[in-house]
Amino acid sequence: MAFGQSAADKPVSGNFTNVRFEQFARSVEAATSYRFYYNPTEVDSVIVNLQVDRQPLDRVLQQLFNGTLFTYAIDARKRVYITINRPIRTNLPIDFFDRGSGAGKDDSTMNAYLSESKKQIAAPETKVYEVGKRTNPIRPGRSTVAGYIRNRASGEPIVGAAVYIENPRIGTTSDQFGYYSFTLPRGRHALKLRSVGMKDTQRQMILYGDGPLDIEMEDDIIPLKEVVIEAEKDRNVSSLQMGQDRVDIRTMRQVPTALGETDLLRVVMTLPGVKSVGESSTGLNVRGGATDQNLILYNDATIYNSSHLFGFFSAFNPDVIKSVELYKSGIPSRYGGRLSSVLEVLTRDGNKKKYGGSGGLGLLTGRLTLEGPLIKDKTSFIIGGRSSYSSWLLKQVPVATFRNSRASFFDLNLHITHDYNNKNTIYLTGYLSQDYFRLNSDTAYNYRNQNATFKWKHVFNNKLYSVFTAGVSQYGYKVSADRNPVNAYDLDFGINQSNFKADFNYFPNTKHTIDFGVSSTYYKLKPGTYLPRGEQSLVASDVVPNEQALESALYIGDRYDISTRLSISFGLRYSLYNYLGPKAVFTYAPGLPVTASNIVDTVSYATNKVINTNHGPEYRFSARYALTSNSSIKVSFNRMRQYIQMLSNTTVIAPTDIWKLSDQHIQPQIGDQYSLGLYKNLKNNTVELSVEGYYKTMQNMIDYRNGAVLILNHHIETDVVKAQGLAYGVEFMIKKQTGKLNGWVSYTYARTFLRTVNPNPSETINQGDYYPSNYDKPHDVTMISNYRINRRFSLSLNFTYNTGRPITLPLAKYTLGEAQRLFYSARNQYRIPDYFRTDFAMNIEGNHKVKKLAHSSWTISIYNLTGRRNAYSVYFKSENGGIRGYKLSIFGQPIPSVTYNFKF
Amino acid sequence: MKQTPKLLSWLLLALVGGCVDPYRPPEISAPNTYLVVDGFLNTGQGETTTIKLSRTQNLTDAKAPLLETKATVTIESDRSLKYTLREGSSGVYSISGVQAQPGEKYRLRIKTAKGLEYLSELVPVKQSPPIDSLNWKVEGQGVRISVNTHDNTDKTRYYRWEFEETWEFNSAFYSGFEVKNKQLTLRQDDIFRCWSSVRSRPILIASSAKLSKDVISQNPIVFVDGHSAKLGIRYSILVKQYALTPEAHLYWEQLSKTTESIGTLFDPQPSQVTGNIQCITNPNEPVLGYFSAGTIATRRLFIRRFQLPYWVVNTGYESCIMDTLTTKELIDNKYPGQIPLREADLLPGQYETGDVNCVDCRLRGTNVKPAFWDN
Repeated sequence: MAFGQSAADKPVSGNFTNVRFEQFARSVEAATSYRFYYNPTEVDSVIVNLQVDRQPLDRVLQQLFNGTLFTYAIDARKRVYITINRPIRTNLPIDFFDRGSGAGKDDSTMNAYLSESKKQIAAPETKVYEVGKRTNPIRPGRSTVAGYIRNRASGEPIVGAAVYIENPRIGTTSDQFGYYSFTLPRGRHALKLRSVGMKDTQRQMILYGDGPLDIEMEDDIIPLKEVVIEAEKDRNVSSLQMGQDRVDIRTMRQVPTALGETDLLRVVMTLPGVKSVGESSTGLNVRGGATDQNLILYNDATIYNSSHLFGFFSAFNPDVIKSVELYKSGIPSRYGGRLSSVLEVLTRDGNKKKYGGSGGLGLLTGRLTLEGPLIKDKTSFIIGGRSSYSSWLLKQVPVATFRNSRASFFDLNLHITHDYNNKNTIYLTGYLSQDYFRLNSDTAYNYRNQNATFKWKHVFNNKLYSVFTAGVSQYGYKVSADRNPVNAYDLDFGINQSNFKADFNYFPNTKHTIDFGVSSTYYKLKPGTYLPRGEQSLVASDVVPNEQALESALYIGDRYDISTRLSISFGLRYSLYNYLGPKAVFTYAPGLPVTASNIVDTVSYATNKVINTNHGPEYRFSARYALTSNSSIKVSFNRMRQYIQMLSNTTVIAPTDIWKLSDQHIQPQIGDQYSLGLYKNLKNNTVELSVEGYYKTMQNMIDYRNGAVLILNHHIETDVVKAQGLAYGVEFMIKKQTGKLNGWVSYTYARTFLRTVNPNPSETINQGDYYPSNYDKPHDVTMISNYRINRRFSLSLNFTYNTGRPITLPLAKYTLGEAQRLFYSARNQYRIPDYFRTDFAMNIEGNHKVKKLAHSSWTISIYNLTGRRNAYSVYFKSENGGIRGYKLSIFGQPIPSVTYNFKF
Repeated sequence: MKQTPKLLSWLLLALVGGCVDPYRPPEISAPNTYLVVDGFLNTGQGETTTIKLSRTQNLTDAKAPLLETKATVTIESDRSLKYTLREGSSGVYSISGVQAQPGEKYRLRIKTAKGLEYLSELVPVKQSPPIDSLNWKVEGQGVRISVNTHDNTDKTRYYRWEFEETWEFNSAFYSGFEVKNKQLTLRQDDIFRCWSSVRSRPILIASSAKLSKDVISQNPIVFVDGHSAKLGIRYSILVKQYALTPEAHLYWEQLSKTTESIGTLFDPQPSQVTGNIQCITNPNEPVLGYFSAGTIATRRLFIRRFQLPYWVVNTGYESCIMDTLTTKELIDNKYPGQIPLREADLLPGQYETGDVNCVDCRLRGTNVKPAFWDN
């Protein structure tokens, strides 16, 4: 450590108690010929507590600085240099003055010295950080360290990074902002960090008191060497959360999709318990819930239609996405408003250090994303755009059917992050997506999502921070027909939602993590306007009046780690819903079925006048008990309430959905879910096994009545029935995340039923018996596999099988009362053919020089390798006096595609 | 590069509805021949009860529905009275003079030639109150016909109507001659003035259940387009009123929502509608139709052309033109379909002619004057 060994002559003596270093140096200088050289500001915190009796100065300093960052050096002229981290060299290397070319390379001392500048990159790991106000001695007790975990290269926050110490074994994880707060015994610790795709790292820390510590992690450049990704490996077993899946963009990229582009929702659909009604539909059915029971949040903005181009693409641009988290059970109390699940999509923050971009070209789409700092290390932006050129392609096809068809979409994402200071960060997100299609018919469909959110994160102190969010979400669609000018029409539908919420996170100690907050959402629905299109149109306009409502909630949740084996989390959310005017509300004759012919009165309500109020508590509870170090059992219960619901027109090629707010006739949906799971990790946490079962009841679900008309219905309550839902299932999953061969296999057995409870026969479906809901698909097997041949080539092979969804079939036709009628089967009595698909993909990476102008990769994929004609929709048409059934398969052949991705 | 368009179209074929396959699962292609019962026990004095039996057809079947012949059809009362219906034309079974006793209930029993037996629920006899009035009103470019009725005892509550429209019309040209036995003779029968009839298709139901009194006021029956040939000379409508039980009302209401219209955006959602008839031999076999009993109230209305505003009538004869042919050409039938109208004014031996479709009104109706037509 010390270089000057010649100064052993003059020993030092003295009694130093709570003496400042400067004082100590002065007294040594007075007693000996040593002279001290140091930076007074660096040493002002050094307190000397030593009893020295005739000891060489060398040993005294060694004793004093042991375990600190300080080093010292004593040269031949008895000068003492005190520095931090690196000692001063007191003599020149051998042959310093007369060395030739290449000479001196054997001088290990010099090489060591010179190469030390390189080693400095790793310095944060060996450096000792002091947190809190220095005290000597260290007070007993606990303090909290908090800060951001960021990517060293881009400055972006890292979500879900594990922060822990080994002894005692306690830890925490970073939240969606990359923020962590960790309460631990004061003293010296090695703070360890692990995260998916990042190099494991650690920080030497002396914790004196509460204080900040921001930590940067480096990307794990995997392909260069076999690095075992250890991060969160045991999350399956050790995390309290159950029924939750987090997929990051790296995993998503490995799953082959129809047209080569990474697709978030398609990956989510491969997870157990998640199903979809149609071949290309991106409507999710989570654990027997309807597609409208999923809260899809895109940086806290609600997305009402998450698909593009009939669901070939999901509405999320892969280049701006960081991760997606799906909660199927044990939903935290901070979420509410939907019965079945929460799908939280997080975008990247953009590189805070340098400009960059990425993009790709596929057969149908092109995309480009740019990111970089607006103010270095403070403000960053990321902007991404994606567009299809399918309409242009269609025009080139020399077949009229195609030439007259159009199908296109685009989406735009913008996200700005600004670190105002250590305590305040501002996030701004904008999102726009639009779709247009017309399939050789005169009807054109057009839909659009528009969202904007503003988030302000404020850190009060290490134990408390808050996030204030304000946002607007808009969704609307338009159907227009203009081939025949006489019946040309425009049909519009829209949802407009504004929301505000305040969330607080409080970390009182290591055993408790508390979050609480309030939220409020204002809905404005435009349930349908039907207007003539063009001057010649004779269509009579029909406008269904707007609906508005306010949904507010208060919540509190606590995660309590009772012991290392047992932890529980409980929460309560109370939601309040007001259905507001202006509106003319129909009243129905009491005791008679709710039908249009039984309307007895119309009551008008003024603007913002409360028509109907609904409120209720939502309980959340989950618990984990570790059976062994690599297995655990978890239980959870949650109750959810939902105030907005959707009805789908199921009999047409292109479904048009109607959203409806709860009102005085349609009560809010209430769902209770009980689940139980067993988790075991094998082979050093590389293989995860899990079994989860659930039982779910849902009240006040709605299904359409026999013969319902959904579009432009001024009193939709007369065409829907209240139903009870029942869903149960069991999900098995084996997952291997590491190694050359990785992926997962899952099998789900799940049933979901509905039953009408109204005694009135006109409001009864299938005689009031339980009947399968539209998305009841009992068996589902999914395999996702990825095999890495070498650093640059990898192969993926996926299988999906599920039972066909239920359908109500027209069985026969007959003539009664002079008109032809159809005889249908009982509701959902039959099933469309089973679904089976195999996909194959090959990823080819460019060379792996870390520093080069642009990184590129190719994805070659074949979707539906076996060419099975899976049904996208089944529909019936009257033709030549008969009625014929058709099955539309969109991907009826193997679909090869090539996508080029680049990053710079 | 020549391959490019081909590749693209192949891709797009896959993308844009390229793979539309016929969908014919066994459930649909199976011979779904379920019994359809269309009929009503008419207990009115001297009225005839007619029950029509037919079979459902496969969806793709474009032929006329198959009729159920040689069945034994009986109507039974809960006091064990039995009336056996006789098959007239095939599939149509009828009986006259069934006198209902107060408070008696009836059911329909059908035994098919194949030995399957069907039985309806017992239904009460619903007496229809008389139709108070049937009136019409000009509404925009047409005429709205509505019905008014009431029941002082407040017992009827649920109503159904059927109607039959009849109208007088003329063909484009009056024909005074005809070719008979290779000879041009004066025409004996009138093929210029005809009557056409059509029966209602839509299901018309209404209820006064939500009202404090059993009154149906101005319930729309039909809207007749002012330009239609129906209003060309004289129009008549006969409205039949049935009283329903609440169950029957629900049946008709649900049935009204299932039509042959299917597959477009605005169509109703599918639903299964079965009536009150069951197959006893095989309880799982669906039976379609609803059996009810009661009396019918009727009322007829006439509207003459001069009572209406001036509307251009689309007679359907607009494209008719006259020709001139010689007697020989007519007798030799050189131009088939040409019918002599009258002698041409300035050309002796030649006749003005018109196409049979423009001359013979019987092709669109009947020249037999209906009995109720009072002039």
